[in-house]
Amino acid sequence: MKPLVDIDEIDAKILQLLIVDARTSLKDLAKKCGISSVSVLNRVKRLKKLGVITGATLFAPIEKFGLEIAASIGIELGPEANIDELLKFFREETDLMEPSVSVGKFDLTAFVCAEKIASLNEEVETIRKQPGVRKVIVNVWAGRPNTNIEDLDLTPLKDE
Amino acid sequence: MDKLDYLILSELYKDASLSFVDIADKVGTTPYTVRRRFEKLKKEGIISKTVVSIDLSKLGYQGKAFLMITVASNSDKTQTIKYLKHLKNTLFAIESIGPCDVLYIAPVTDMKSVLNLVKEVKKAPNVERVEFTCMSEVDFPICENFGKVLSAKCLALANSCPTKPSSSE
Repeated sequence: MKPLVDIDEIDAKILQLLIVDARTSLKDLAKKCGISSVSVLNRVKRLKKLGVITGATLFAPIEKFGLEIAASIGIELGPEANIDELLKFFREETDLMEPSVSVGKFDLTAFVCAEKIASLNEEVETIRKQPGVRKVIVNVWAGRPNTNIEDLDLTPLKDE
Repeated sequence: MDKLDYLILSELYKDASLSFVDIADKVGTTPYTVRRRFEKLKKEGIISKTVVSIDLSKLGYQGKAFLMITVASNSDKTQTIKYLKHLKNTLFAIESIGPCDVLYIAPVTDMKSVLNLVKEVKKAPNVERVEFTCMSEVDFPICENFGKVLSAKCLALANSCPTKPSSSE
């Protein structure tokens, strides 16, 4: 198991505020945490250096970009499959999102966004043709995802 | 939406914390214009949220649980979703068309947290069956290739726009 980094209450609070809005200004962060802007900056720098903060991403309704269909893909592999090769292929050659080695019902999981059913089918066919892939199961998303990411437990192991 | 909008979105997908000055540099306009466009896109609901990305493994999470939930026939899926949405750490709960009715994702730390999660999810109204897969991915809220793919998509849309700036500015 990887060692945990040391996160104190103020670090957690900063992360929480940046989850709500990654563009919160240093000034606002400082005010809400009751410390100076310089301390906030140093803490954010430290969290980046430790690899806790890896960047920031944007959420937007993807149908505005013509991507009408989103789906979760579950892949079952045969014993002959080379999972690292497959993962590399999905990362580099396809538009699959978050391809992930998994354990349980599926051996690999990913998400995909597509313009229409035909393009979704193309993506699925590409996956199906890879060596070692036994079965591809598609769950098409209906509606918008509901999240509760603001409630992320930032100190999961310390609660115990 | 015009070319500039798509270019700004393309940069934000790569790094949503970029300053307006940095974005202006990259897309070849002024910080003031970027700010105005950003506010416009936010108002129109095209930018719905910016979220810091976190490596969950550093906080002690070992993966994400991916649950495929079947609800009782003749029951209301939206009730199930509503309940699941309010569970702690819910990254994702959505109605689905396919082998299962509801998809659910939450980060997990260890076996005990997996057991707890499944127990909690089973308490949701109308849940009939829960199938489980654990993803080894530990990026929060979603792995960086999400931004990469959508950034490329926005760039393609930008390039397909007429180059003439819109008359609104």
